[in-house]
Amino acid sequence: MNTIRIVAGAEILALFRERTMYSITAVFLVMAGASSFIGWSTFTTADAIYKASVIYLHNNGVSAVPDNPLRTVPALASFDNLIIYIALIGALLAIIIGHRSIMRERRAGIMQILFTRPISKRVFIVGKVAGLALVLFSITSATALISIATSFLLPLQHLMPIDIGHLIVFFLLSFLYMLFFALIGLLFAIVAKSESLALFAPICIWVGVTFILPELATGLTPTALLNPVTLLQLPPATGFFYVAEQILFPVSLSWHYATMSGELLGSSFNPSIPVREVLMTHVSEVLTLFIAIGAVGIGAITALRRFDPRSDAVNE
Amino acid sequence: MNTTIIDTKNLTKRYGATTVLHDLTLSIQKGEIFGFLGHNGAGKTTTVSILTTLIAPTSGTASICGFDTQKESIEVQKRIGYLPENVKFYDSLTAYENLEYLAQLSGVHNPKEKIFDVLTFLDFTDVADKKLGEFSKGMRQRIGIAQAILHEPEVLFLDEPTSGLDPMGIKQLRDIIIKLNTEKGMTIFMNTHLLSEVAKTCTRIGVLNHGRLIYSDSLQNTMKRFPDESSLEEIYFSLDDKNK
Repeated sequence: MNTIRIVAGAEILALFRERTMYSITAVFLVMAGASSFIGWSTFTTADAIYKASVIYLHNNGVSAVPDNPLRTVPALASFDNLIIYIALIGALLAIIIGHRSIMRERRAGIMQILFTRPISKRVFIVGKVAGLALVLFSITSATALISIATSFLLPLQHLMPIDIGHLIVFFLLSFLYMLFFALIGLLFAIVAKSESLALFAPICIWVGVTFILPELATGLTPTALLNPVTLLQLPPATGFFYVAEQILFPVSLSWHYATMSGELLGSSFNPSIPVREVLMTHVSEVLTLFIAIGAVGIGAITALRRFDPRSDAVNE
Repeated sequence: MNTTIIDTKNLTKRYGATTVLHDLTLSIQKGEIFGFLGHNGAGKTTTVSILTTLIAPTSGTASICGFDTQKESIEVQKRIGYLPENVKFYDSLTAYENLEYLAQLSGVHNPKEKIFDVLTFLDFTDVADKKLGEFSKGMRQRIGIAQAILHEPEVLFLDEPTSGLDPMGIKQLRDIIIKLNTEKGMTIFMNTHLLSEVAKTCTRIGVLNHGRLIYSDSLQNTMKRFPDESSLEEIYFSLDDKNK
């Protein structure tokens, strides 16, 4: 336990001294803050259009106008953009954090010294993961605080205590989602022979998980993950997509993340669902996320056991 | 009474079809400074990598202080210190921070006190707060020694410790090695191809040629055994020629 704490402590110290980490985190946090502003701006624009339309209709003798549709939009809907930011920038940030975690040692050439110390490789990886998980958790918490603070600063946002609860569960889910990508970054930093491959491979996986897998798993249901629009047309009903959906849907992490997040935050098209109901409906999806995190973690331990510490001079 | 500290039996390492270490059987006693000689690629670093638990042998066994390097690696790691050929650190951390992390991983109870003891022993206290990125090769090598002895190991493995050092750096390092052996009683296993250093530092030598141990004896006996050769260099070349 003590060794895990030592490795985790060193990991946190090292990560917080890296400029790359600061730059990407800063971009991420600014975008999280901007997300609330964009949501508020969209809301006020749509509200202004509605009010102008009502005046126009009244002036033209129409008295029976429909109710303002924005009244039915959940308060958290303006955080919708965060789902996209976390699936895109958050996951990439996590990959870089995981990648740096091991690559720092490999680049420094310190693996030989570390692994002649009386520590097991399993304990070392657990310490590393604990350190980067704490860093990710801090970033997620900062994002949550910025989002909540921004929402209170802007007019028309009336968050209730229950909304804060939804936001907290959403950020916990986002933390787990990013942790998965951080572990992918860490795993490839161990197994890849060169530094460029160690970064390229996780990014390919991120592309696959974020863009390709959801498309195949949902029969090309258009862009629901990245562009929250209504289903405009039915997916093609072919045997290939049927089989792909059966096989890939259960493991389509980004789809599940986006669906659950959408239900937690609510959107213009999906009213928010109580937290308990969301979790009960998606037990298998949450379990899949935990299994994926566990599997990549075990993979990293296995890879480090086979790792030759003398190969720490990585080629670009 | 002699106590065997390093013991290898038929140690062999193969990479695919290439055998880099053939049936190495070696026994090193407590308190010795053993110079492991051989040209580049002879298998010296492979031997040290096996003895320091970094890699597994293909066959054969190795033990340090009676503990098997594979089956009891943690026990071995508690008893060894290692200075790799190109010692590297976290350049963004200070010398103290680097040493503190490594001391904690080695289970040192009072890292702060121990670090200053070791740096005082090495006459190097003034650099503790400097970042490693600013260090010269010689300074890094001294911090390398510091990290290797923080936990007071019984055996110290040095892989080409004088590589890349200037004459002053070589002399300082040589003095440190002798001091560690005489004052702290450490057994030292030193890979090198600098024969002059072996003659000035070691009590015993072993010569490795293409992965095979072709000679091993005390420095004193070696000089007696080859009376016609005026230097260790000539002895080495004479041994090397015989095995070609």
